[in-house]
Amino acid sequence: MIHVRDLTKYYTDLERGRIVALDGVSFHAMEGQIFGLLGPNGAGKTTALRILSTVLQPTSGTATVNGYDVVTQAEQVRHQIGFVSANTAVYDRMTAWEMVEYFGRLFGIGDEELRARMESIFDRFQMNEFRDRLGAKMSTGMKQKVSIARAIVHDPPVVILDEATVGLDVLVARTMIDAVAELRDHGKSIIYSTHIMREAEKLCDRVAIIHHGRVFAHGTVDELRDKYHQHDLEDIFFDLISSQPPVEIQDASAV
Amino acid sequence: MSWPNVRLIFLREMRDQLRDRRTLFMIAVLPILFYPLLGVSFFQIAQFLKKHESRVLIVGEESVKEIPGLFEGETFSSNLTEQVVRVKFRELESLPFFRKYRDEFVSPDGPRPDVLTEFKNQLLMVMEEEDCHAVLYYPPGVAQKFTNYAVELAERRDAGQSAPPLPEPKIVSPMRTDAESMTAGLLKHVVKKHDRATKDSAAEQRELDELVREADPIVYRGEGSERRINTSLWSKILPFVLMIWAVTGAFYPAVDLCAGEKERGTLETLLSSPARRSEIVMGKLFTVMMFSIATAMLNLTVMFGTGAIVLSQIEDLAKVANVGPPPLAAFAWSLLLIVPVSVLVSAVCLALAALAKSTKEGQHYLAPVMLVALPLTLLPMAPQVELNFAFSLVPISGIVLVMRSLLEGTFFELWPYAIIVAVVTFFCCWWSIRWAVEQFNSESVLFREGERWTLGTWLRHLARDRQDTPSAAQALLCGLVILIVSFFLSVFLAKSFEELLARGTFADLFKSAFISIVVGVALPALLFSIMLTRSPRRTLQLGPPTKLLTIPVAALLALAAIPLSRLLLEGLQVVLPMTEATAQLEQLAKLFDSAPNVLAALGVIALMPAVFEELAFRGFILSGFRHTGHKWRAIALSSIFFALAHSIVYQEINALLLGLILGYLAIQTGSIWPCMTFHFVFNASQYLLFTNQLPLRHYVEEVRGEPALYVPILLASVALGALLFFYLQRLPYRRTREEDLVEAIQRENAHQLA
Repeated sequence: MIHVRDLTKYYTDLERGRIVALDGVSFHAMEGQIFGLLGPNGAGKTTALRILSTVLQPTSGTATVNGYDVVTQAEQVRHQIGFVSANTAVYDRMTAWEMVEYFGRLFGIGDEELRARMESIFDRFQMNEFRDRLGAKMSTGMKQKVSIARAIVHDPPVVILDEATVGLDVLVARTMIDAVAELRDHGKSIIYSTHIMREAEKLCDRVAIIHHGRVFAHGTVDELRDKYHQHDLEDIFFDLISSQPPVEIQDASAV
Repeated sequence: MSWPNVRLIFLREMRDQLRDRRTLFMIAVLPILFYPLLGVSFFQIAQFLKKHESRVLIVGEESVKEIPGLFEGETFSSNLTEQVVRVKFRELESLPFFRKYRDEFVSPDGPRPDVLTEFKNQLLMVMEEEDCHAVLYYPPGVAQKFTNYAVELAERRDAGQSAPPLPEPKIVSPMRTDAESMTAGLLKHVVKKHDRATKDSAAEQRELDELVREADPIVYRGEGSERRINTSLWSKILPFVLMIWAVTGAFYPAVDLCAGEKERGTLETLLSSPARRSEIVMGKLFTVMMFSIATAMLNLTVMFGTGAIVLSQIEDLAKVANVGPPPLAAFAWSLLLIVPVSVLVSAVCLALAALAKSTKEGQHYLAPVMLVALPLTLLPMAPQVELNFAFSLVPISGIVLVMRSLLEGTFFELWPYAIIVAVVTFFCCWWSIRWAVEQFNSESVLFREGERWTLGTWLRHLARDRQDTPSAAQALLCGLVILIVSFFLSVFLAKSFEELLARGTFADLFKSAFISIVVGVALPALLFSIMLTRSPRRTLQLGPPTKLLTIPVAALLALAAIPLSRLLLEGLQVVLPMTEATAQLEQLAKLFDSAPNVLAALGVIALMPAVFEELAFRGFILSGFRHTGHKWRAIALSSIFFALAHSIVYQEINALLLGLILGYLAIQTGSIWPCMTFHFVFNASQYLLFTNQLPLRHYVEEVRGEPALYVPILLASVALGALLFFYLQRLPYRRTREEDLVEAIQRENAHQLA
């Protein structure tokens, strides 16, 4: 479904020179599974997901989504995915209904089908009470629901969620998580990045722990438990990260 | 590109902008309110000016009151002004100062200057006493002259003399307050109008129209010329207003649609949707254009309407300032010109706005846009500037000049230039749109983070993060530095250059060429290569070519190019005759006659440019521009800089085309050496041919009395050139990372279409 091989991404920063955001990251996510990308802030999760959503281009390495290459077949890839991140906001001067409708049309969905699909999504996420409210007047939770609705309106086989529960209160976060689980049950392949281990434990079929742009461990949660002889995912995560030497991965001379 | 998507994005952006009160206010409400308010306040001021009573003290002999057509009771004749003016009289004889110096005043030479100055002070004091704003002083005998003007005119004509000048009354005013200055201005107007009326009536009475016209052609402008002045005035004001509002109307939506979206975080949402970058840009561009056109149109219309109404209401006052209501034709043509101007401005604004990471930063870009756009609008207002080949190449200025020629009725003579203007405008629009699309494809632009910038960190960054070859921005910088350095060197050398052409020696020529080519062109490029790149060798393409055969190929190609280049030069001299440039070329050629020997001449004319210009233009600059990802764009850009570095127009055009060939050679062969070979062979054989040191005149022209070989040789050169290009085109060449990427994406798109 999603195959990421040896993905590398460099940035140039005025102060620190070349920064390695991703350093040979590889992982694979399957249909009907939730794949968790776990890592502290600045680990490279967002960069990886931005590359998958074709918003960024890798420095080297390849990634395919449903068989399409994210660099040379970016347009097809965008048809396959729904992308929600902290940076994909909703329009202030558009109502919930208009926003979802707009993206539905951009995906080329016909009028009747779009309407039916939107009604069902608005029902499922209980969005009808604010369907005519402008983005500027919505609460964080409402906005997040609109974002998810916008991302799945075209029924994509792959949904990418980057820190989707950040800033949500317990109730809304719970709704979100249920919605994600439901999407998986509909056969979607989901990539879910988070730094909250409870969420990952509850949701993810497989996880990869990423730090400093490198994948340190991956497998199912049970596999990781067995391998590192710890029950709690948070402990495993903490041990893994603190056992790594504090390398500064910034090698200006390497290409 | 999918047009339904463009339409969808356009409609959304339009709705979004229309829901934004700030944009609406700036773009629609402000102009609708502004001009009428301006008009109303103008009107109020004019009313006030009319109601405001100007008091004028007339000083002169008793007979002044009898001057025909000047006074009506206690005010000026209503033909002369509609302003409220109260006139008081004071007889000259009542002034003690006048009585004291009467003899001087009535003498034909008039009073001495110091007496006159003192008299003016006296007049001002009397003016204060009488509570007036200005004095209109008629020297003794003047009134009489006015009364007798018609008679005198007839006598003069009979005697075969020219018309007599009218005597001038003097306006004396302290001009301390607005009321005083205004009264003085009013008096000037009244005196002028009265002059004209006197001449008119004299001419009518004595049928001496001809004579009077001859006497004072300036005052005697026909009605038509006044209209022309007014038209030309408005044809300068309207483009200016149009430009300001086209930019303002485009700028705010552009910033909101790009920087604003980045700031609010909705841009990434849109980028991850299936809409292509080009569709997003086009959708946004149409929105920006819509606002730009609407704003400019709204402003012009409201301004035109208000101007027409207000100026017709205060005609009297407006005449003082020589302004009439805007002519309808000027307005109509301005409306037509809005579209190309707006497209151009919108695309530029959009690309710039994409560069900004926040609305605040975006707003800082408005001033530079205006700083570039306004001079281009103002340039055509300079005297002597008219629609010709050179000015039709300047974007925006060309459009304004076309409009002016339409208004002034010279368009039918100048229409071929309008085609050039259209082509230039189209190219600029296309290029700006491409630029905007690229901004949306550039990660570093879309995801620019706020960084703390200090000179130190930036310099360290330049040294630490330099790449093997320069970036496109560094190439651009290098090109600009070369142009600037060359400009100052040419100012420095100019005097000696003229001297050089006039009576220089070969040594002077060598010195001048050395300074301009080595210091002006090569030195910046070499310094940049050493400081800004990791591999000067790769940057300057110093390695051997992939195939050694390409060196003789380059030499042959140069030989094939000569007849064509010569043909081009001759064609140019016909199409673009410039006597000065031709003379300079010839003078320069003569200088080489003073060379001690052929080798020395070739060293200066062929070897030096071949080595040093190539290092700069095909070395550093081309290498840098190749990081834009498009081979031909890099070639074109490097060749534009190559052309601009030359000083004579014909050389520039020649260099532009040769630059294309040289750039292509550099990329296909992967080395600077074939370029240097081409450049050397080209320059050297040009020199040898035109100094007749090679018996090969057939090569460039038909030689009288000998077999007609020129045309066959020309055709053979074209064939040879084509063959060599075919060979070069098949060479595998090393692509930059960006070029690889662009090609991969293009292949994929082509594959999809298939």
